[in-house]
Amino acid sequence: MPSTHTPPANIKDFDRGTNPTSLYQEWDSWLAGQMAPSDDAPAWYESTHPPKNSAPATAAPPWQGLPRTALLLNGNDVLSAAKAVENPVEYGTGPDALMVSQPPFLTSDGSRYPGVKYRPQDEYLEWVTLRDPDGVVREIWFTCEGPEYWNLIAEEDRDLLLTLYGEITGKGRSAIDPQKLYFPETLTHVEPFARGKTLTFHKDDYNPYNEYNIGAAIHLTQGANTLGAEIGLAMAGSLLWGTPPKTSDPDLVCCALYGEPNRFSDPTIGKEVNDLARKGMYVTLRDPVGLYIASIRPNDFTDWNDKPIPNLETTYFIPLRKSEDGSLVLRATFKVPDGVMKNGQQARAGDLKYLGVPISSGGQVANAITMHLFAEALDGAPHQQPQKCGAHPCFDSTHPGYVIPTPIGTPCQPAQGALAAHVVNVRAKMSAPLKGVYSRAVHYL
Amino acid sequence: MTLDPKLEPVLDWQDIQGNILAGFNKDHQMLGGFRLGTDVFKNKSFVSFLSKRVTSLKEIVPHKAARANYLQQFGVEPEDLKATWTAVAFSYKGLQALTPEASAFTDVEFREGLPKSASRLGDPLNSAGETDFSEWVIGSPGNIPDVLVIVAADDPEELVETFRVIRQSAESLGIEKIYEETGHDLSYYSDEQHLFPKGHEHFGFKDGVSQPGVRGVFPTGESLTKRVEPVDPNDSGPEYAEKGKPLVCAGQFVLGYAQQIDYAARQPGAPRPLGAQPNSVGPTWAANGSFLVFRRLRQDVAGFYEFIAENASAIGRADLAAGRLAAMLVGRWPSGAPIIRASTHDDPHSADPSLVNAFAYGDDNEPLNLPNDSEGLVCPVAAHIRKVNPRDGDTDIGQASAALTKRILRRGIPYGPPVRPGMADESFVDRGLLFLSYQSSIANQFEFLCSRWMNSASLPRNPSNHLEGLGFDMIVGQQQFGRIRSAYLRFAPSGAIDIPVTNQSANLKDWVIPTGGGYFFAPSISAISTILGS
Repeated sequence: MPSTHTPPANIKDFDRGTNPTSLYQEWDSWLAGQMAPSDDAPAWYESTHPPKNSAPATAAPPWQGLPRTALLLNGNDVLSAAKAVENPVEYGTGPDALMVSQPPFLTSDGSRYPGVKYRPQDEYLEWVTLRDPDGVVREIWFTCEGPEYWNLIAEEDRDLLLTLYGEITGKGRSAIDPQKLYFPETLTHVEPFARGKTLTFHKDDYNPYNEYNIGAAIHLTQGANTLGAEIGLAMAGSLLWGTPPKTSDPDLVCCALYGEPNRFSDPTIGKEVNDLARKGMYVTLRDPVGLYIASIRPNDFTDWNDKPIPNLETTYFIPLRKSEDGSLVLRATFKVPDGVMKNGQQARAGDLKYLGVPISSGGQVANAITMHLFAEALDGAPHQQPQKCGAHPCFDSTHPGYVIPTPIGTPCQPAQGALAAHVVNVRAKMSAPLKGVYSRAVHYL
Repeated sequence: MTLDPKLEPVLDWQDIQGNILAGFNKDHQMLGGFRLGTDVFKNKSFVSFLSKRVTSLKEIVPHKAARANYLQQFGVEPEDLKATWTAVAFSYKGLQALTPEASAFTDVEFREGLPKSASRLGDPLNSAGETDFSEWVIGSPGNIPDVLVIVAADDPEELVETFRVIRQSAESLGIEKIYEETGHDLSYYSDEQHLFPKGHEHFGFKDGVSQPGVRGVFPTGESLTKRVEPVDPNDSGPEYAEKGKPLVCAGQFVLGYAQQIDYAARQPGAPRPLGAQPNSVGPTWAANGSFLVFRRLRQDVAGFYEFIAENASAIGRADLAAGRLAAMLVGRWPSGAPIIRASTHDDPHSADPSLVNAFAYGDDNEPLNLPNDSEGLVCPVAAHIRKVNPRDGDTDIGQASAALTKRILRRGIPYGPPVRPGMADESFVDRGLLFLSYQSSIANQFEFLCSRWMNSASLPRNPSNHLEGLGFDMIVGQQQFGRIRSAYLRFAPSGAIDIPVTNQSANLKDWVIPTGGGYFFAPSISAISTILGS
């Protein structure tokens, strides 16, 4: 049992900082605040302070990296879905490929601040596709690092931030313009994934949407892709929801409103934790808390001659940031190893096929990636009263299968229409049933 | 009970081929593969000839009902209620030879065919690292039928005669027959010394036990799938026709109808788009048709049981005889009894139709309240039936209902004589399964089940408290490189101990060997006669 919260994958970046002890303490302090027990969540505990000394059971719910919403809206066609979420989207130009309308960033005089982008990839996995001048995919970089970790480094040790950005982008430290890592003026943004809260980014605050991050996938950018969201989701999942308690989705996720019902990730994580809680167990997230790349399915890939690729999972998909034992992966690249030739030239990722189709978008590879996180549980949790449901599922008739959480008491509309606005509106107006739990899920700032 | 017409559409039973939704399920079936010639008129004449013989869903349904009634009333199959039925399907190249509109089919796996997919299905490789087609008797590159004909009959003589007429028609039109094979229910081989029970495959297990219940009604108002399980209108989870038999939208098997939605078991999804619709997957006339997968799978019975005996011996548990180990890897006993209902020995009572699918994997399978095994302590997580049909268990694609989108309709039949107990090793005999399945997407259903779940050591899902993979499907699963596969057994109460079962030291690494097949499209009867045959 760790006595303090360690960084995701127990990565050792802090050791290279100006004051490592302070960085570790700050991280522990931030995470302790996020993970702290709450009277609102009697079955929740902090992994650093378990309620008993017995060995906990561990669960690792899996989900896949290409957004389910994109697949749903593109007839389950992997290539179409991958193309739809391939490129970053500028705030205020939505709806995006996941039907989310992100409001723009605003300056202090209320005018729009252009150029702030995020990746519309919402399964806690984001990527950038690197192409050669001829447009062929050379390599794909994947990350599942929460922005909170990078925000902390940016706030506490600007020099370390610069070093890490230089290394990860491959540009070298000197090529990173420090000015571009911080906001040049104070900006505000209404974040739908923070229940419509207005977020303020002060002048000189870290800009998580900086061009280097957008260009190299240093860390997650989509509004719901945060460690805070992960924790809030797990904590809310530790409660019983509805009478009798809801046991399946989309009822459960809509009742608890702990995440986006149309994703692979949120309902899977929430239900896994909830399954344990309904068995009367204490639950929490295992230290080091993080979102992790679990594996890639090699069977889905073939080369340009339709031949299977030996050892693809170890030689084409390479972890770049991971725990010392390699079991926790935060960042990885997909590329053809040096020396593998096609027609006398170094082969590239775009020369390979995914499910028989040449790779032209990073999302095709994301479809083969399994993500996971780690929950742990101890038996003997106190009896808890079920919570009242916040919403019930309705379905958008124009997009079959798309779930719209609708407040209890409000009937489903025959034709939902204006979907993205509707979703944002519901989230913004609905009062969270348990502020002690949900205040942690709103955002990292 | 009033059915939602969007969820339960009226099925065009005169136009849909009968084998797709009802299944021929006859004791004798012949498969014929034909290569069309260069004369378009003759090709179309042959197809026109076939179109008049294709058996519709409407023809099959009353016949099957009458047989079922007789069986229920008298306890035996009716002797005088016999039928001979025909189904037809075309490869992409076959469709191309018949109409330029074939190019509207966009599914890459269908267009490119099984040989190219074989590398993703884990099929054995040759020394050049390419799929080894040396054992394929049909369907290897250059030997793919344009037309696949399935004839099914109660009477083997009628079967032969019907197929002879089809073959003769082909010959008269200069169309080459490149494949012919007969499958028999293994009971056909029973004699005074050996009784082979009906419906079993060569390893000895009852096959085809669990099929999805397809939604939809006939023009008469009658449901395609009989419903005996009450429906809770306040629940949004899967509806069950009977215990363990969830209802799945017809569009998952036939184009043109609402598909199943992964996260909403009771909501109708959009049909796969056809014609001028965005992201169309085929021409408008593909409606009422279905994609057909054919895999000729040779079974090495002696090799399989050698592997079983070797592992049972290596594990050395007094309560794990070879028969139980085989049953654990299948998930059922030879009678079909689910191991979750009969954990230590075969129990024919549990194979009764009312119980054979009355089990679950999750421990909160309300409202069914069935025996279950969420940790895989009775039915291993890697058991074949658990890999291909996770039932109420959550998977890597989300909640349990998502797995309904992966279901297929299996219509296979064994080929070759069964191994006779006590007889000498007959492993040289070519015997196995003519696997046939219908689905609306080969990639999202058949290939998904094979490559993502059967051929994976950790998917569809590990139980809690077990972070490493619990193994491959040891029955049908394939491991492309090295061929070595393992699965892990756990036993109550010390469930945390995982006992490996592996083919590492077995002389034979594979006991289910692909030896042929193909990807086809089974069009509607009207499309066969008007688009392809005219």
